[in-house]
Amino acid sequence: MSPPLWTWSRVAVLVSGVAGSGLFLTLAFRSVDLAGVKDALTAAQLWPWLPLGVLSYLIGHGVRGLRCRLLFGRDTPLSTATASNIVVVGYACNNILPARLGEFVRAGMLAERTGLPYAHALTVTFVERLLDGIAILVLLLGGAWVVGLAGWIQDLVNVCVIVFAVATAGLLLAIFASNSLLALAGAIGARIPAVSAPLIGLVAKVTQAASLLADPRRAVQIGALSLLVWLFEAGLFSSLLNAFGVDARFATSLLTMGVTNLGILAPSTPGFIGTFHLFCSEALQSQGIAAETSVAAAVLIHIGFYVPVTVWGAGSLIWYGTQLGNTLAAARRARHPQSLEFREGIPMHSLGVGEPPAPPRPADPIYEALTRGLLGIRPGPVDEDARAYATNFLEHQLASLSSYLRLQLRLGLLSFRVCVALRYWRPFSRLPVETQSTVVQWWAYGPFPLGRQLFRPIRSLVLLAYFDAPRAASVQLGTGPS
Amino acid sequence: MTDSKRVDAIVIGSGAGGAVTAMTLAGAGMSVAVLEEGANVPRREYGKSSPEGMAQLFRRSGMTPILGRVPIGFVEGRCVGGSTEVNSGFWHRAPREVLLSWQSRFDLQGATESELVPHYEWAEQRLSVSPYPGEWPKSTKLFQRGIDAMGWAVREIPRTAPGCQSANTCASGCASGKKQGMSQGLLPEAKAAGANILSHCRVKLLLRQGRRVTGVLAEITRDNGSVELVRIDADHVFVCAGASQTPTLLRQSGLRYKVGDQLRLHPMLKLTARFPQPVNAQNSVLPLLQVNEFWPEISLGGAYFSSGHLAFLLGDNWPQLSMEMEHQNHFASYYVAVRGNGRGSVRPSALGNGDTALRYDLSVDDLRSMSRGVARLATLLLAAGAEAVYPAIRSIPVIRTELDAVRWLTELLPAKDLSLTTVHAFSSCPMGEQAGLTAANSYGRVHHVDNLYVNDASMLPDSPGVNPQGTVMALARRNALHFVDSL
Repeated sequence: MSPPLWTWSRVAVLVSGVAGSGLFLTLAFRSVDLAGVKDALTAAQLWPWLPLGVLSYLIGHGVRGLRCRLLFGRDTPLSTATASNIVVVGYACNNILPARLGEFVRAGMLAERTGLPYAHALTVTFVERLLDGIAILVLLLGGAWVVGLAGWIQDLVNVCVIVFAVATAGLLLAIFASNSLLALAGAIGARIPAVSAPLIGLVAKVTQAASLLADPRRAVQIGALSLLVWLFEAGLFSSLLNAFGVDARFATSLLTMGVTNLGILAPSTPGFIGTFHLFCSEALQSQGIAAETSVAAAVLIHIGFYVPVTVWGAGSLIWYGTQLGNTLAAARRARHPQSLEFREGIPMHSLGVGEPPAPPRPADPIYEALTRGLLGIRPGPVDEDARAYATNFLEHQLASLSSYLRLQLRLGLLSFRVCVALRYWRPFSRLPVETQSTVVQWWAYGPFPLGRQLFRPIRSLVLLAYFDAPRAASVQLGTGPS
Repeated sequence: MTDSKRVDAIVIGSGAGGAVTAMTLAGAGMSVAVLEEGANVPRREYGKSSPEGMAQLFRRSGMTPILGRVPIGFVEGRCVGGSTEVNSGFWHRAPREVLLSWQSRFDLQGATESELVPHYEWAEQRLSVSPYPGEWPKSTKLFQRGIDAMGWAVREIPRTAPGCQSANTCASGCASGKKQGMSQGLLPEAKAAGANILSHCRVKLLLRQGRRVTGVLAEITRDNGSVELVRIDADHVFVCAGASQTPTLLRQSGLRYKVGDQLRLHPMLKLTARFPQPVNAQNSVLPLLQVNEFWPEISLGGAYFSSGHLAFLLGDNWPQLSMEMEHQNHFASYYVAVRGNGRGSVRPSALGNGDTALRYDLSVDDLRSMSRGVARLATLLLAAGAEAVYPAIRSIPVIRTELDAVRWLTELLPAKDLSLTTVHAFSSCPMGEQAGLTAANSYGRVHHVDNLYVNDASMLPDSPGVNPQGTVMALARRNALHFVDSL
């Protein structure tokens, strides 16, 4: 039996949205002269500012697609164009459906297109929104720092600083100490049973999302793209302010964009009617722009924000042959990832799926050099197959250390590299084998305790693997005198 | 298992404690889910080289050192069957003196020698514990010769490997299937009784509400390497994840009372001996005898040997000793193990995703016992005809005479130069009625939680001084039966 279309919770969401929009629209327009707003709109110079603004905004969506593809990983069959289209479908649905259902529609379509589980698509969507929040706060604070603030927006920014600090700390904790965060959620859940399941589910999702950012290089790329997305969106604001002849700095656009996007988190109708207008116009007024011009600008920016994306989203839906009903069904499935399932006969609830591990990176030449240096201490020929085997084993084993020990080892090897480079003016891996052996022998068996400590696991692993490699036992060792 | 939304019992870990628990509970008609972090490695994959075995069957590929003033190399199994898949299968019952001291100090109830006999016998019968079936290998005969020369008490240690084919692959999984790791007998029996076993499933958190555990949060590694987070609900949870992981999980879940505060070990130092005649220790099972004379404080016995392990042990003094590899067929390895009484701890690491920080500080008593053990073992080996003995000590590359060896009866070895290892860790969640010293009651129920139990090596109140598998299995069965009876 299909669930009823209208449930109390859906009715409540709809009613609160309509009420919110009504309230915010009233607040936005209560003290302005409507005729003045109309005059400002009539006088606005739409060409070329409206097309430029819309273009900037749409480029931002292209960047969102690029970021989405990066978040889904390298092996996913998802082009940047498809990713952008799906992202836009999500935005379009937010414009026409209540309760930000577009986020779930987007996850549903992404799962459908990539073949990855809904839960993983939801995780990616979640991390996108998390990064968006942080990027908006960064740009808002940057804008505020340049143009200065007054009134309630100053209070809002103060709150934002705290939220930003907490969100960043939480994200770092989720990346580097996910278990501690889960433990905290578990401890809270143990004391307040009513929140246990949702809280742990949320933290699980956050930690899985954060794991997408554990690779520093990828995290920097995704972070930079997130800033770029919102810089392009600020481009829409900046361009349309020019249409009204407002001589505002780009920082004003950043500030307005940030305040508006935080403001539309409040309940409203689909398309953020009312909330968008109020927060956008108030931000502009706080910068000394006339009330009528501010409201007129808010109306025009909202049109630039609403219409192109909705049209693009509808086009994408048609292009992919996806009917809205199917998409909504996918969204409904995506919204309930915690359904009971059985694995090996064991009942369990899925809370989310992370991405597959990254493919191994090319081997660091230092491991081969260390292996050569160590094996060179013993006179006689070296079995190259066994040496290669030992090199691979060394790298694999050191990568298996716990995070803390791995960090210590990396720092130790960095010191080793620097010292060797300063002594020989060449990297260790480019030294002749004889010199490598001399260096390794000094570090591993010399008078310097930290050097001996650093080389203890290295020498042990290399010797174990070299002499237990299948060919080493027969070729290298011989049988000895009997 | 029924279509219920929750299982009667979750058993975390499938080693000696977990397999016995699962089999006992499933045999009593309960729905049981065994969650094992490691892989279910088929037997055809066993018996590879030691590096491959480490990568395949050991926790963190064997890279789990115990930190302290003297770091100690520590390895434990992480696969279906746990460490029983990679140990040498030696079988001991806990000495009477040890059981008495547990009763006296920790007020451990129901675990006297006579009370444990039926459980030991049950396990011994299940695993066909028996002496080595064939002629002793050379490394054992040489050891016997040395013991005879010293006139010390000795016994051949029975093993869980009836029909052992002397393939020398104990540490990388017994390919012949003769060694009765848990994957061979008990886990299939548990499965036949209705238990479900899920490998690649790492429990991250025990979910609690007040004084009860409601289930677990676990990560399942899928075929493509991605990780799925799941919640599994249960009425009872048995944590059998071993001495390092059980306290980590409990502390991670907010259960800290006497958990992970007392890690005990058998610190071990290996000595290799070069004999004038070929020994070919790499082609036979490890030496089968143990010297009883100094039990339980000091044990002397035989160690696993391969070319790689010989190089590893000579590695402390490689520039001087590397050419000894030419004579590898003349070498065999032996060990000194002491019943450690230093301070140890287990803590979840603040950084990382489930890392564990293990710490153990060697005590002066440990060092004294180790020094005497090295003196005695070196003397024994030289008396057995060894030309030279090479302890894994940086500043003592070789011992060539008995007079050199006995020096360490009175002097202490240089602690910082020792290359210590261990495969025996326990007592990180000790049980007993002495609430000020223990994390669980005499039957493994964790204090302050109504339905959570520990049932593995972590529950041993103190170091047993002998290989712990037998005692872990006996106590695990006793606890599981007590639990079933109490329902």
